[in-house]
Amino acid sequence: MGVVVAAVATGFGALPLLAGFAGSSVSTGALYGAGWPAFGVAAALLLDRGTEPRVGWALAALALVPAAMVVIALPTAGDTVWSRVEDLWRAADVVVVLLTLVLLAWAMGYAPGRTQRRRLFWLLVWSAVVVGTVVVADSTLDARAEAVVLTLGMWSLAGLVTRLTIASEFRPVDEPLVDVVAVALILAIGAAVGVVVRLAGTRAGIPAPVPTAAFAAVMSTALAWPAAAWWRRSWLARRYGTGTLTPADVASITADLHHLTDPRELLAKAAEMVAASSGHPEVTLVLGMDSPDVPPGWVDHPLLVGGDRVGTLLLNPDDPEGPEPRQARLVEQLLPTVALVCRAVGLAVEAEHARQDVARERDAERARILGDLHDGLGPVLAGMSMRVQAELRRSPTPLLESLAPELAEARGDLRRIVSGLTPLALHDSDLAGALERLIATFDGDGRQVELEIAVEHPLPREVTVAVYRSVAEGITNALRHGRASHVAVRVATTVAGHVAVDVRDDGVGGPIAPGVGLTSLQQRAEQLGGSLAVRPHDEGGVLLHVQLPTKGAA
Amino acid sequence: MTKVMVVDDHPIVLSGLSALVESEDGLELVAAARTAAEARAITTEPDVAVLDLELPDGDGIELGTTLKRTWPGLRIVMLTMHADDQAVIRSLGAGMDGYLLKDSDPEDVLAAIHTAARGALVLGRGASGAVVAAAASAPRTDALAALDARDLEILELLVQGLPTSQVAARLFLAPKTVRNRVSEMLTKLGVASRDEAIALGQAGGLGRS
Repeated sequence: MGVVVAAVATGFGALPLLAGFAGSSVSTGALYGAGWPAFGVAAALLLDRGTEPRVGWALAALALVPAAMVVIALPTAGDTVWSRVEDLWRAADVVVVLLTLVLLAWAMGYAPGRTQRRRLFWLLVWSAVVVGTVVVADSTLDARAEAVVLTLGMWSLAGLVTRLTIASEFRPVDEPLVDVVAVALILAIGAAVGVVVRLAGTRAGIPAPVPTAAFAAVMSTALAWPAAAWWRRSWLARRYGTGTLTPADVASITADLHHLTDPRELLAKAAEMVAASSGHPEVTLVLGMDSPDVPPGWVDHPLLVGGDRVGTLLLNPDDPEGPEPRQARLVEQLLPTVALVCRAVGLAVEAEHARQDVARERDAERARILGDLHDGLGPVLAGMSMRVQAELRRSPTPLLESLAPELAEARGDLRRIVSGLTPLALHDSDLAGALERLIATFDGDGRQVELEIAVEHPLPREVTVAVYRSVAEGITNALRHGRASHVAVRVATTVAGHVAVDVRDDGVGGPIAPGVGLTSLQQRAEQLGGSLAVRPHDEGGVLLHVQLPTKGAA
Repeated sequence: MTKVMVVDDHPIVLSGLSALVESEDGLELVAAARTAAEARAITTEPDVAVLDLELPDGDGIELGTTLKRTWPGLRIVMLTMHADDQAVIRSLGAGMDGYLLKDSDPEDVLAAIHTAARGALVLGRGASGAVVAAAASAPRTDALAALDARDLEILELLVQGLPTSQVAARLFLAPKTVRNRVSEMLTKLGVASRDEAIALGQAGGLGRS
């Protein structure tokens, strides 16, 4: 129905133009109406789509303007009807255009919101251009030229209104302004170069200065184009994001990845990437299936992997009306990737927790076993030693003579096993104190154990325990297997964020077969991201070297 | 002749210690008891008592205090497998005359009894700080043992004094997740409030590094 009405209106509006044809030319009065049928075409389009019928009906009404002008002119005209119409147009064109624009503005209406605001803005801008042009044309051009200007103005207005009504989103208004500035800039450069070449050429007396200047102007405009395009791109990227990740972004964001100790720091990196590509000033990633608190003005996107919620992406769009549609689309595209990152980080965190739990359980289990060993075997050995000593005093036999020192050695072994392998020695004390006490249990009996410790800062607990065990194992091996009389222990933190343990003895040296203790220590060191090496020393004896990173789950 | 009484619940230690005392000239074993109750029932006054720190029916130090009240002239040496500073300080504070590790050399045990009999203070190897906590007992009941790494991570930050929102931000979690985990943690720890959990965390050594 609407389309039919629009077609009829267009027909009626076009009638004066068709009637105004006289031979091969058209009379000026008829030419004035040539622009208005465009509104009829636009009305048919909009009414057909069903978007904003009010605008459609207003456009259909505008198509009738030329017919209305003829009807108004008719009563006072005789056979000079077209010159009467021409006079009427000439007198009233500015008013008619203004009324047209008011009608269009009313039809498009205003509702709060970014899209509506931008639509009205563009209508006003173009209205100002059209009105300005018509006013200038009215006062400077002859009627025929003015009619042509008016026609072009109406066609462009009809096109604009159609575009504004159909479009569901608009770029921020500063973007086209940047375009305008960029174009004006390169045109100005071209013009300036042209003028300079022209003046200089004339003065120097070159042949054909004008074509030369024109050529120079065109060339400099063409050369300035890429620079202007680059400026426009970087300006918009600063404001709305690049829309993509450049290799430079990726490089700068991932540059320090290998320093990460907590997999969760990857989330901060992923958030930075989203921020850099989408132009959001603040982006946060949250793990887990619970909804985080969304700060006012922020936007949240649940992150799903296989239907399970693995996290949430939070964005601060820096605009109370939300991200620009383009930014929102980009974020939508990134969501699956970010969700996978979240899932991977979540798994890594779980794995790390499981590892710590296992280590803790193992420590507790070891402590329990050692405690049982100490409390069960200790009193038996002590009681037997006293008994043997008592018997030895009463009636010494070769058996008792040999049994007493063996029992003493067994007591010492037990003490060392317990003190060397339980991390409880570190429970209430610092590493240096614990090591000193440990070494005191070995020192004496013709053996000498020296400790040099240079630890700059408190170490993570796991590392402390590993250092303690390394020293205990190193000394035990040196004294037991190496039959050393002198052991030098050195524990020092390095600048590179490591702690190094060196246990050097003057024992028999030779090939080293790693036992259970060393193998377990080596595994522990590797778990902590460090290393353990045992090798014969050049000057005799054996050197145990352990290196552990001091950064970690501190 | 120095009259010696020994109290230890471990049969091998008791027989070994008794034999050792009997083998020494100048020492006379007047009583051997396995529990605090048996020890209190003894009527012969000894000069020196060698007491186990941990007895099945009570604390060696308490027994020592009781015996000293009965016999003010009694000298007491505590004998134990456990060489920790707290126990040493507690025994000496309670008026005991010495502290000795069970796995000391048997000759040292005898020497300690003689020293105590002379009225001097005995501090054996171990009690002087050489072995101390290393010669650990059964693992201490760790209040935090019920927690897993995920809980400890949160408790650590709470002990550092961070509010829930910052704990959540630090761990990339939603505040709601943190609140849920904290309440699970309270159940595991069997405490009613966050503050109690934080106190337990501090006692357990969290928040120091």
